[in-house]
Amino acid sequence: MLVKNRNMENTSLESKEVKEVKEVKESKENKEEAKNLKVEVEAENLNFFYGEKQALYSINLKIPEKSVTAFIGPSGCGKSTFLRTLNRMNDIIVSARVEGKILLNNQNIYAPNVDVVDLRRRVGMVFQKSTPFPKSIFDNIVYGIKINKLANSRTELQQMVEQALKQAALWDEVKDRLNDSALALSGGQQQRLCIARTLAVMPEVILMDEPCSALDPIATEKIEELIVELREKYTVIIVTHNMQQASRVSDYTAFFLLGQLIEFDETEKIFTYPKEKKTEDYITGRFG
Amino acid sequence: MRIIEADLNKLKEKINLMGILTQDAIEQVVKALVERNTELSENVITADDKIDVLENEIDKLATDVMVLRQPAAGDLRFTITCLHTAGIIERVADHAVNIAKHIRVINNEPPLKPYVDLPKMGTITREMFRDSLQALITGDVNLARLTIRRDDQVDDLFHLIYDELLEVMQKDPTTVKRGSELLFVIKHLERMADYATNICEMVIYMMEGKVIKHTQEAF
Repeated sequence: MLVKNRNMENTSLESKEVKEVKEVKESKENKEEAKNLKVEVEAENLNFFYGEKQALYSINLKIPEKSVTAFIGPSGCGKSTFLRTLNRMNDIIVSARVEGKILLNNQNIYAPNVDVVDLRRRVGMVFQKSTPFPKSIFDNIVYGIKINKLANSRTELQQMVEQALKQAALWDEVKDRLNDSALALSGGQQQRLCIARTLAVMPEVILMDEPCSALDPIATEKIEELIVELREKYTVIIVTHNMQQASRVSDYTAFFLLGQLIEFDETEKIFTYPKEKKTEDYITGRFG
Repeated sequence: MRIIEADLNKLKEKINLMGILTQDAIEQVVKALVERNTELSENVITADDKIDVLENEIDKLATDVMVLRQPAAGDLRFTITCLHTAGIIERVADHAVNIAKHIRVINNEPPLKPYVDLPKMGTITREMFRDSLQALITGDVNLARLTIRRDDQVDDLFHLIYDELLEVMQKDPTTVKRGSELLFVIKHLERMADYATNICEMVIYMMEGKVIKHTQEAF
């Protein structure tokens, strides 16, 4: 670059306007950072065992609120196991044992006084295969609302159903056939119905375990668009084998290997310049 | 071997070939200028087509890699670097062609003065380009950083020669035609050195994931 005295040149270029633009940018970045740093879910020294076999080793992780976090890693690395520890879904496995803490808004969900049913309302889950109840579309959504006694009147109930279906981007497709069987919907619609069912009970966190693995590309795209929209109101955590999906929808990515959390960072960093060689090797297909 | 590996190797080979051809072009124009060998500079103009073709090939291959192989991390940075660098190398080659065109005029006139600093500027520019290419092919960030620092030498020589040429032209207005042609030549050399710097910045991005262009580290 043809500049005789670069230091002088740079100083003189730093006009008032330039400084102002920089200050505004910095303040925006700081706000972004502050927002991102607000932690919703936190794992503290978490170990998990299936009987004698240890599946997770000393996981420490802070998941920021109102963001999408993707868990990636080869099969058997522990990502789904970890996801299930976040709403105690592993409790139903007899031999399962947990050490350490999972904090949801600073409260340990493994504390003795925790109401697990309420926990699973606050931390909803969408599975790999859609799991609609063999009931009408309307009844699928209403089920959780009624159990949790969230509606005071029939009108409120109907409003909540409509809102949940709208949030799940399904309303326009089903509004004229709410009494039809949920099983008559397509695979992608069924999966969005399950998301709507989760949203209807007003969760704080939504866990998704490979939610698109059984869907075609168009249905996948709809779910991905939905995930990106959900980030505005909810903390979404998604397990996916599809790394392009992780890079498309998530703000943060955690890479697991052999039960250990190898790296957690902003998705952009993980996919362009991961710090750990193991992460680089996995996402570039050198192993796994 | 990973499927992407073959494509990345092909990209590297093409970038290397493009770089070698451009390095030859710089060497030949500097020599043609210093030795007043117009025939040599004409070769540079004809050889440029091959460099243009290679740029298109690299563009296509890198685009295919992005779409079909969906590279990530180191693979992604390498692909982006190739795509970007091919454009930079092509512009360096264009500057060599422009110098060759000025040589046509310069060599038809009597020498302005014995060249002392001009060959020096040509040599440093050529070496900077050579080293930037080597840094790119071997991923040598130390060499890239050393090469970036050499840009100051080229800039200093540019100012020195520029002032000298102005002085000569002011003293003897009959030298204005030759003098101004030489001004263009040193400007092209100075730009070539800048482009070598840009290649080195891409090497640092490729290896360290850091974008240093337009930052203090780039200086």
